[in-house]
Amino acid sequence: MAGKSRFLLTEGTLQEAQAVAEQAKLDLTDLNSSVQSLYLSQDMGDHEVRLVELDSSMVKHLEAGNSLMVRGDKADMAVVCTDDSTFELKSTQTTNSLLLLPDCRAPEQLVGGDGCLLHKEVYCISHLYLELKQCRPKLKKLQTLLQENVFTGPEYESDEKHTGKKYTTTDLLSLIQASEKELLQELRKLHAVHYDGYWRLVDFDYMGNVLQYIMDTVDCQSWSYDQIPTDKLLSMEDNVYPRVVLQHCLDCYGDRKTMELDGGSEEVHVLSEDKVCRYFAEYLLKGVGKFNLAEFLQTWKESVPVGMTTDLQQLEGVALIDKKSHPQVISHFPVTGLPEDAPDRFNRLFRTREKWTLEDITPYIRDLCERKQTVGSLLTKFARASTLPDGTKVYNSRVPIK
Amino acid sequence: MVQFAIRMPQTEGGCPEWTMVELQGELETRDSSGLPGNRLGDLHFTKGGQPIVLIGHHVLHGKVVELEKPFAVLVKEKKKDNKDDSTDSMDTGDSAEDSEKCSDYLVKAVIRNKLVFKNRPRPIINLPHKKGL
Repeated sequence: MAGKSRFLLTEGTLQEAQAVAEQAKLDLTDLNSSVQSLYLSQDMGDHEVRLVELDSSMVKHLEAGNSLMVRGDKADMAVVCTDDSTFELKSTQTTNSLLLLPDCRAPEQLVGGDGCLLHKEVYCISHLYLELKQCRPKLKKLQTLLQENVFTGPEYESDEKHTGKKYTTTDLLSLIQASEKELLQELRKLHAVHYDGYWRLVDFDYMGNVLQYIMDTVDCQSWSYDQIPTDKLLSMEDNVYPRVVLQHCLDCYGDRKTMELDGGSEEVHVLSEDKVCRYFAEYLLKGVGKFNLAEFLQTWKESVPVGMTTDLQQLEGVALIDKKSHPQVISHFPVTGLPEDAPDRFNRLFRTREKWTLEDITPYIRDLCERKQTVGSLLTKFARASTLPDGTKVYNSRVPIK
Repeated sequence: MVQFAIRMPQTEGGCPEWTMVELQGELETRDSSGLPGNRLGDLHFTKGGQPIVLIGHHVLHGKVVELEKPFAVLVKEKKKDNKDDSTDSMDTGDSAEDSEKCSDYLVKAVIRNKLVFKNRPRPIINLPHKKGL
């Protein structure tokens, strides 16, 4: 047995430990009488662990028997997902040695009196740990996946355009770096329908037909857009569209409400003027390129249902108006078609238009804000402010545009 | 994409709590023969609750720190059907195909406190040769 030195003994006694302490000039009267002798465990080399810094709520989440999902993409870093949030997993090296002791006693746990010598083992030593930083989920891939098989109605499901892959919630969670809540939120935003167990993007024109059908039915039945009796509508015998699809359209373009009527309460849908008008605007703008603004406003106004009022505010994040051109033009420019990564997003925006006012750019960068960021801090990071001759404050790119 | 879970096995008595001892620098071996199971040193506590560690020729004074964010000590779950799981999925997200299933990681312990020690120069003791640490 090699390795004996003046201070290192493979077995010891309390007295020997105290002698060592004395030799080290420690004041024994100020020390707790018990000593913990630290040993490196026999199979320390086999003990492979990962240290991850968690916040207390995650620990509670785990203690309750729940899981944290780790999702790693080929090119990207891995993320950790709880039920509703996504975190970037970052590996940190330290020059310090982190010794892990399964059984170390805290001072208040040491027995008093004459004390004793306790044998404690170091399970392993680490120089690495993982930190978690909350981040935006990576959802752009979702659109790419769902575009493989867009829903255009039950009658077309078996045709050659619909042989693409379809995805369930579980499928999507195993392919997208996001928590379940964030995934479902994005699916709602994309107006994806849960049809037959699969999430499907709905063809734009088809959705318009369904919406028109609903509005025609409401008119026919002399119901009000503010109070569409949901069940009555869905249960109508000669409905041209499947119940699931009608329900989905009502939810995309209206809000649910419970009305208290004599005889009990009833579930109704309140059609949203903003959402419906937005649909009609997109219908006009899609595939047109640039539309003369004045003509567009007139056409738009005439196309929406009677009683609904159009407003350019409804097109925030959907259309871009070029006020400097003569005549003024408007074009389709949906934020959902833009890159997800902040530098790429800003590059695309500045490529589309050299200078942006705060008002114009906000709807196109709002979704980039990480947890504690504001639109202002994003602009500070990715743009440069300047003032036009007429006093307007504008933002342009900080870097050459690609 | 690679996907796996971090889980805490539900056991009676709950998840064990470990302690971390943080030492500056590396623990060097005096010789390369290294014996597993070797004694590292002694840990004392003053009556005021301050930790003191004697390692080799060194006396290190430290303090007990409650971690703002607890650490989870994770170990890879051993799967019964031992698929080729040699790469550590925590390091890289590498996978040849979509959605590869990997071993889950289990929480072996939670660390809420650490004993932090400052020292200069490095302590010298006998340690097993540092392979695979």
